[in-house]
Amino acid sequence: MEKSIEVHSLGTQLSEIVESAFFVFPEICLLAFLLLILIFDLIFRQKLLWLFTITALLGLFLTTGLLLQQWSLTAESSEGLSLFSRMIQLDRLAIYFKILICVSAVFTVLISVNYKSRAGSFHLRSVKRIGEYYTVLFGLLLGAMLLSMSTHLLIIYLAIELISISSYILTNFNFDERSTEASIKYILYGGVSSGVMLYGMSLLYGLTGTLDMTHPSFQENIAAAPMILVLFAGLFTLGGFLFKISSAPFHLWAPDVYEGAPTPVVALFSVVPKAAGFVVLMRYTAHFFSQVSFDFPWQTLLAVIAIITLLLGNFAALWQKNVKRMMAYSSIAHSGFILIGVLSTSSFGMLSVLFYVSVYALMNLAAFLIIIMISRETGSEEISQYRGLGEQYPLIGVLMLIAMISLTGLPPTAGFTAKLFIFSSLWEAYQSSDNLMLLLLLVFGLFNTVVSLFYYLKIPYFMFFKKSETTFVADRFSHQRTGRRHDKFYLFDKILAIVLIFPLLILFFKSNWLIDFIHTIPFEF
Amino acid sequence: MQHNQLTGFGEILLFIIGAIVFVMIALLVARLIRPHRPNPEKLTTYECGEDPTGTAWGQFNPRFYIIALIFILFDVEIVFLFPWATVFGRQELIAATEGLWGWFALAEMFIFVAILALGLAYAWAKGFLDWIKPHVKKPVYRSPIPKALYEQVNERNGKNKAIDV
Repeated sequence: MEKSIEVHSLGTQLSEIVESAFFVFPEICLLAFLLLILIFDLIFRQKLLWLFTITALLGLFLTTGLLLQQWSLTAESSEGLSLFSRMIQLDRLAIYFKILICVSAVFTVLISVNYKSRAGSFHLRSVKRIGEYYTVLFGLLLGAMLLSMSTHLLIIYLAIELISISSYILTNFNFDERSTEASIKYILYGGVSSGVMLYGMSLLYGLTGTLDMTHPSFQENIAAAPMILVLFAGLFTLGGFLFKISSAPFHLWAPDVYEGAPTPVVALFSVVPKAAGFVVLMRYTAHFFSQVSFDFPWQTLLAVIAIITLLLGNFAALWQKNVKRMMAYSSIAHSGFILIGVLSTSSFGMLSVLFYVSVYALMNLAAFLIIIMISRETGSEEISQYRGLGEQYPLIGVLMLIAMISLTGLPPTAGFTAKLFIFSSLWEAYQSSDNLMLLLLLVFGLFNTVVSLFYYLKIPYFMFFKKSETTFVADRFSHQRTGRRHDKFYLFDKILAIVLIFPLLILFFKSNWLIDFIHTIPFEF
Repeated sequence: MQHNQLTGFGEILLFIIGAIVFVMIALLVARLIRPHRPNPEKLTTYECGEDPTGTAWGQFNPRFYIIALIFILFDVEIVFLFPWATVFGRQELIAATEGLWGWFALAEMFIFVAILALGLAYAWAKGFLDWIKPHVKKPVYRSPIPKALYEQVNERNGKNKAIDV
């Protein structure tokens, strides 16, 4: 009798899977191109290097096109589709983030075209591992796209692991000592945090009997379960997400990985896994924390995490002498700012998170591109090497200045608008809840913005106000000796930097262009 | 009712007995037909070519790991193929889903095997399957001094102070 029921539901299950497959065409397209690049790698080996870049870009453009089509097909008011027997949820929130991820990936590929690591071991024009580079990159993207759709704890875990394992490999792509050390550290921290997360998830499964966060029985059982268990399970699971967004107690990997990994890969790390991590964090807070029956002050908890993240990120960044290390701490601090939007939970809060993440992606990609350009010129990533570069190359100097002002959050850049939205959503949340912690967070957030001014503006200060001294003169002589052209910046890179910086100014004056776009996302989970 | 039939545990017992008997027969036959000429090297414990005694912290050739990883490729394939084979052709499942089940299961397994095959092709094309033999290089020393010169010295010094070449 039981068997016949099982057999009966099998038919509907199978047809559901087949139907669901039509809604994940962008992911299938990405996967197909991943395999295509892998096969190209086997066939062409080390010939036709440009083919790999072209194929990767083609794949990303096709995926973006399919995502835009998905966006236009989903209605503005609909709640989204539950696919694969409620494993993933396709809504406009997910599609928005997936588009963001793909666009960032396009820029990452373009940035890496002219990148050359210090020892010259990673250079896409001559590297023999170019096929592997794009294959692993696509694996990371696939994981990030899955993560932004997932509402099922199992898929969340799988997607996070897909991102993490790809990240470990990409970290090592400089193939030098630094890079290997960073990769090993990343694996160790990553292994521990995903173990902690898995433990939390297993407790959640034990409490509720389901891994589906959207399932009614998940929320009912969470509400009925003993407080201490729910607390432990919830916080452990949260740990895995905090690792992906490099937030306070799980941020330790960031500085070493950012310093050791190839710079284009770092640009990708600071944007894509973070964006995907924030989507899943938003879904998690909506489905888990707001369902807890007892009076658990989770908003206060997230506020404390945000405060610690802000303080740690900003104050550690003050002492850094290496630009990439400084950017690592800056990205930790930005996670704190975005967390503020997440804990506001209002639809305005969600809007500000989306706006902030989009702007943050632009500023970070731009900043890292300029870091790559300068490090090719000076052969170093130390801030002290930036002396006098602004006078020599005014264009690069001005672009860097705009990127840094935007990262600080000053007008006239989109960074200011993003911070304004975040803080107004926090103020709104404070007024509706009267939670003193939120007021404290607001004060700390504003204070930290001032702190960040010092280390961000240190770079333009060195570029424009310090005269270039000893080291650089020696470098210039060597240029003359070898008879090379002095200005080593590629025109391609310059155009790319302008393309990335320009929207930062546009979005300050016309922020409603992006806001109107985000407004069509229904923030109902 | 089922007194005459074996339970699940009974089957396992049969397998255990079968395994023991099979090994015993193999050992016995080998004992009967093999020549008996032991030496110390043969009598040591078999340890895949490694020295069986001593610390376990020694360095192993990394090629062992690559071979092990590629072995896992096939191992996993078999582990999944067996349970798949038991449900793939079930008549009632195919009937209940109007044939969809068969196509679905077949497509799934083809995708799975294709991914594994791609992995193997990758390892092959990248040369991870080539077992590179260590190239033993004998040191060659070409003395700038001709050999005849040494012989002259030897003759002059007498037999007791000969210099070896």
